Parts: sequence; C-alpha cells; structure tokens
Amino acid sequence: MEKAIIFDSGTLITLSMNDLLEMLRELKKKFGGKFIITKEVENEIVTKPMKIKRFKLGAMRLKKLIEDKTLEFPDALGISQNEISKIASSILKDANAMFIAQKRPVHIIDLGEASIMALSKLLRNKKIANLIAMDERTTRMLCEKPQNLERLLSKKLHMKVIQQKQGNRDFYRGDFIRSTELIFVAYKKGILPKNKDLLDAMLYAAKFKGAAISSDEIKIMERL
Amino acid sequence: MQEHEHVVNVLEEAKQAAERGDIIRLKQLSDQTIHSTAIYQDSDNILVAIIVYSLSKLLERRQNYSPKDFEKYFKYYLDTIDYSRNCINQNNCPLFRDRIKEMLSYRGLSSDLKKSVGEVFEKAKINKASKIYEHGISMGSTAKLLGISLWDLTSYVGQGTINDMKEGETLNIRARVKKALDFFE
Repeated sequence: MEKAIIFDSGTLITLSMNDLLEMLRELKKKFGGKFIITKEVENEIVTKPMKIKRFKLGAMRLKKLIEDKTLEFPDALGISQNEISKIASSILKDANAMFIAQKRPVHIIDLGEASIMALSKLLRNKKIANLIAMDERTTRMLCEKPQNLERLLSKKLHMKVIQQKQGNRDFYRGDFIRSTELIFVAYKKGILPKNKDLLDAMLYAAKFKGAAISSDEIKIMERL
Repeated sequence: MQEHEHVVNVLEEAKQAAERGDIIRLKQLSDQTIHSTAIYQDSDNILVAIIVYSLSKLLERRQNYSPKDFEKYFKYYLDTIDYSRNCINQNNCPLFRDRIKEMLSYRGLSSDLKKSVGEVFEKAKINKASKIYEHGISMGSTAKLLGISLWDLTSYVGQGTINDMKEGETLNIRARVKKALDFFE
C-alpha cells in the first residue's frame, strides 16, 4: 500500500533550525513512502526566506531536500495543484465559519494549512495512507478536538465563542504528528544515537523552536 | 477600524502612561487591543497594538540613546499618538497609516536610534503575532496578518508557555507516538 507524510511549513522550519534535516533524510530512506509538501509550503520554507538574510541558510538547506527528492510535490502521487486548490478553498471557507464571536465568524486558519488538509483528503480518496506532520496547534485542535479550540478561544477572548456547526467532515479524518514524534521515531529506529539525554535535548529543542507539545507530553514520551 | 472608541481610549491612556514612564501599563494596553484584533483581524487595530508596544520597548531602552535624540523622537511619537486619535475619531484610517509610516522613517534621527526604532517595530510585530496565535488563530493566518515570516513566529512562540496549555493536548501522547511508529513499519 502506498503511503505518504504531508509536511507543514512549521515542522520543516523546526527541523531546519535544529539542524535535523539529515535525520529527516535518513527517516525518508527507512520510510518506504513519500514525503510531500504543497506549493504553499514551498513558498513559506524556501521562496520567502531566501529573501531574508537570517533565514537564508535554513531555506537553502530545505531547498536541497527538494532537489534530492527527499521532499516531493503532490504530482509525484498523481495529484494536481488545481485539485488541491479547489478543495482547499472549500475547507478554508468551512473552517473559518465554524466559530462565532460577537456574532461574526473568527478567521482561524490560512490557505497553507487548508491546502494540507485538502491534500490529505485527496490522498485518502486515492487510498494512499497519510499522516500530516504539523507543529502548529490550531489546525490540529480544529481537526482532533474542536471543543478544545472553542474553549481556548472563549478563555483568551474573554467572551463566549460558539462552535456554530460541526464543520467539514474532512477536518476530523486527518492524523497528525509533529517534529517531536519524528525525532522519537528516528531515535527508536536507530537513526539517532541511543542516548536518553540527547533525546531529551532534541525534544526540548523542537519544543522551544515552535513544536506545540507540552513538557508533560515530552516526559511521557521519554518513558516509552 | 473596529471598536474605534476603545482604540481611541487605549491611545489616550498610552500617552499618559508613556509620560509617566509606565512601561508595564503600556504593555498591558497593547494587549487590550489583541482580543479585538483576533476577532476582527483588522490591520489598523494591529497597528495600534504595535505602536503602543513599541513605545514601551523604546522607553525600556532609552538609556541606550543620546538623551537629546530620544527626547526629540519621544515628543514626535506622542504627537503621532494624538494625531492618530484624531484620525481614528474622524474615521480617517489612511491618514493614520501614513503618519505611522512617516514616524518610522522620521528624518533627523541618529543612525543608532533609527536602527533601533526599526528593530523595535519588527520585534513588536512578532510579539503581537505570538499573542494572536496564543488566542487560537493559526500560525499561517497570524503570520499573514502581521506580515511576518513563519520562521520568526515559530521560534518566538516556542520560547513562551503557549505550548504548555492543556487545550493543546488533543490526543493521548502514547496513541500519537504509536501512530507514528506504526506508520514507519
């Protein structure tokens, strides 16, 4: 069975900032499937940062992953940008109409995140098993536990935020991992040295560079 | 602009706080506009949050600048706040935006202060972006709204306590790890 991991910008940025792209290359070799990014993600991880001096090196390293086909585009699995764009706009519309504050919808997610959910749906339709690697928490909350997002919005905005409708069924079918789970897999697969201290350092480095994982979760992970 | 009465009040109070040198109050006032910013995602509301926060940072660093240079810019900054209040009261946001642009490229500043002002504004944008993300808006949406890079936002967000909020735990960690390991089998 074909399989793929769809990468969001944040996960790749975290790995690049922590000098863990070689680990990603090794993971790809052991994976037996494809690592996919959308055009929107390429724009965020390569095109834009190439113009910003302090991120240029990171962007160049990520570009190399595209050149050596560690990261590929959806057409490698027979999916066109047009198909993604069409579904992404419908997901975007639904997601951004889901929560209401002061009688108006709250704009929760952006096109980049919607394009990843769209791609995941298209792959499922093609019977290609897939995981979404995403470090930011909002999209993950929207898909895995929208009631938590409703609670967070209400708490932070100091007002009642209502989940107006159940949302697109496609939201609830994506499976998410983060850069921290990729690090853990690399550790278990022997790609990283068997050193608990090093694992701890890497997991926290990913957390401090933006992976939305709590310290409690890291503690549990380290005991597994 | 959304909630313009509230924004005008925030600016008025910000000016008073700045005159007292009350940096903490300035930071609080800047956060007060974040709730409406997260809901309405109005760029003018964001700009207000940024100028108030930047003012607090400039005051915090005032020892680093020549007193004469700083006082001159500080006065201009406070005049800009008055001017902005008038623009917002008259519902003339384009004029308000132009004045802020002008303030950023204010002539006659020493190169040190000029560089610092630019830096403070950029950092203020990232700080406000992290607050909006904290409110539950996605990273992509937030970065776009503030016109900043996801690279800046990602690393800044990780340094705070946002990722330790219980709401962020949406699936048992053992189940998530198992899912990842199984997928690599």
